[in-house]
Amino acid sequence: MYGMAHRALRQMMHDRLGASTWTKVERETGTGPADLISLCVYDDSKTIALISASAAHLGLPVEEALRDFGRYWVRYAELSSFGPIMDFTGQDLVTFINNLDRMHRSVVLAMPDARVPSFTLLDETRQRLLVRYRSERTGLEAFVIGLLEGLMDRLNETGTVHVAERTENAAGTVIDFAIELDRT
Amino acid sequence: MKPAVTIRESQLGALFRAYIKVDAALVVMTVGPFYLNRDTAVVPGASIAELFSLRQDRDDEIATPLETAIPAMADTPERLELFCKRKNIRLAGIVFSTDDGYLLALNIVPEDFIIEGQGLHISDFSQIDASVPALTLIGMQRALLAEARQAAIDLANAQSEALELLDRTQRLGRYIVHDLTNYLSIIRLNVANLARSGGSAETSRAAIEAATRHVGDLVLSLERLTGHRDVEATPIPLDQTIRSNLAFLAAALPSDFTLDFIGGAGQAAVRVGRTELVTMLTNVIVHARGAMPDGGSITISTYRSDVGPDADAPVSEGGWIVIKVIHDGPAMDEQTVRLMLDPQALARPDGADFPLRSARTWARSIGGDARITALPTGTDICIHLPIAGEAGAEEPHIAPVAAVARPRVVRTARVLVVEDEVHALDAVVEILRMEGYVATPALNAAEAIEALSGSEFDILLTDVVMPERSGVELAHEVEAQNPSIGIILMSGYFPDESLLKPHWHMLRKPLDLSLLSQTLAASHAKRADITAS
Repeated sequence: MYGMAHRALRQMMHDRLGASTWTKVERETGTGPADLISLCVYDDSKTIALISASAAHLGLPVEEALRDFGRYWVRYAELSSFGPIMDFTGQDLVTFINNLDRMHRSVVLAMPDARVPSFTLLDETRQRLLVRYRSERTGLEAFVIGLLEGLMDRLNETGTVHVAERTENAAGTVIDFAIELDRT
Repeated sequence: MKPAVTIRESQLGALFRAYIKVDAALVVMTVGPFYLNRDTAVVPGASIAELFSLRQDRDDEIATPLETAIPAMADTPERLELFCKRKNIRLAGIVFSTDDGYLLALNIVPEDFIIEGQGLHISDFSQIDASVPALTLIGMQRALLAEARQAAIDLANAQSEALELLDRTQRLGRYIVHDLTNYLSIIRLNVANLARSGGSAETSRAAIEAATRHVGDLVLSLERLTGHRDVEATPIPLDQTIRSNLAFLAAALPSDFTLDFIGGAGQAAVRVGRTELVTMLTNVIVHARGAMPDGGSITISTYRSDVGPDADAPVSEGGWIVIKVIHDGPAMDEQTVRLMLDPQALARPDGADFPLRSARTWARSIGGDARITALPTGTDICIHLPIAGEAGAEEPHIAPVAAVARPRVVRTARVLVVEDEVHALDAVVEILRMEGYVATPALNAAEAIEALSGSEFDILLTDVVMPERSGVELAHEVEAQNPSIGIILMSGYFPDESLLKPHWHMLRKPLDLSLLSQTLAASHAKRADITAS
């Protein structure tokens, strides 16, 4: 993953358990300032190690920590200096999801090694969105649920997210997420 | 004629998000998706000439009217650039003529290629518009610059904190070395006592046991300080700890002093190392002793308080314990008292108030503080510590260290021993006397000069790091008055060699007794040769 994720995780740990706990996470995982450059791409094992160590300090199962982190990630990105890019991507849920791939394609121009996921809006009704997520990675389902929940928070929507269908193979993951919106 | 290409309106909207179809009179017929949900008034029926201008300076009367420009540009490669009169929006494209008017094939042109404040979204741009990656990349670059600026600030702060930590660590390290040296001297004195006497073995054993326990705890403190060991001090009951170490503390004072303790903190506990506390109190008492040449009384009292040391102190939810140390020695002026705890002078390890500064550094390191107030007689030293809970267990009693008479081997050499730490001074003097030397103690350079004015000495054995005047300065002065005197310096630090004379002896603290004995013998023999010749 890219360093922005590590920075977001650092900020989340600072907010929840304080800087000293993050220092312990860094020590446990051999992480330093060079692993926290937003637009550098790092090996996934580094990110997984950081999340696992953070989950242990938070007293959460890794899946739950991933979901929390997904939600936090959206808020972090919005409040960080990358906030304008979030605004540029969209100010409502449908526009945002529809524009995500274009935003990611632009981001990849600056980070050729980044392996970004793809999001496609398969179906849209007033109260339900069906979003297809494709990724070379596996095991990030909870993180994506957190991301979609974080997006709802950001765009003043409420609702739930669940997995409608899942396919995982050697090529990666394809998951259809259903977003049930509390709209009347 | 059949058109070469037929484009549906949805395709037109995908290619030219801000297209406008107008009739021959330049009245809007249909518009692209860009205008949806935007208060631009670009709607069917509106007049293009009222909505847009050709130049950004919208009041410029010399700008070509759109009624002239659009027909003239139709079906040419010339770029049409329009500025919205109602919104800060710039559009660019080319003009095609159609059967019933004109097609303005337009796309949005981002202002200055900065995303912020323009209200633009990715979907305002066509799929092939390079503006999206350009805007995203510029946005990322700006974000990275902001991150780099913040990183530079964080780095500067971290560097400042690291330097401060290093400074604090060095200071604390010096304090610990200083305290360890004292305890080692006590151990060596009592080991020598054990080796040479049969009558006071239990007293010496107790003193060694207490000192080694304190040294062990100091090592733990050092490990905590250096991060070598993640040790969390468990809360200890303050009153019990002081009471059970009172005899040990009293051992730091000569017989013309009294030491009293009035414990009023009950079972209140503080999160400190036991030996750190005893060492701090020892330092304060030794300091007070130095200020009272004629003896007197020192009183330690404790009480609870809801009020912290000052308004800036961190909040202590459990309240505070205050340790007061009052003595009835001579009064000090306000300036002297202020300088005693002046943080600017903390870097000097040899300041007159070294023990008091170390007490404040220690108190602050655990969230408290130390203050000193001049009284009409003596001083009032007040140490605030945050309460960490309540405790009950009794402390083990530590036997006092007592001086014991030793059989002596009579020698004639007279040694003036100068050492600012009373424990170390007592230890060295005791050892020399046991060795048969005539040893005279002095706690500082002034006392040494006074002793020299009344008596003759063969050897000056002096500590280097001392308050007011260093041992090196003293040695120069003494040798100038008495060139034949032997000079032996002792220190835990290596002084600047350029300040030393080649014939002086230098001993590293803690002292190696056999080396001390050899050096004294060599110095005395040399002195005897000089006197004989």
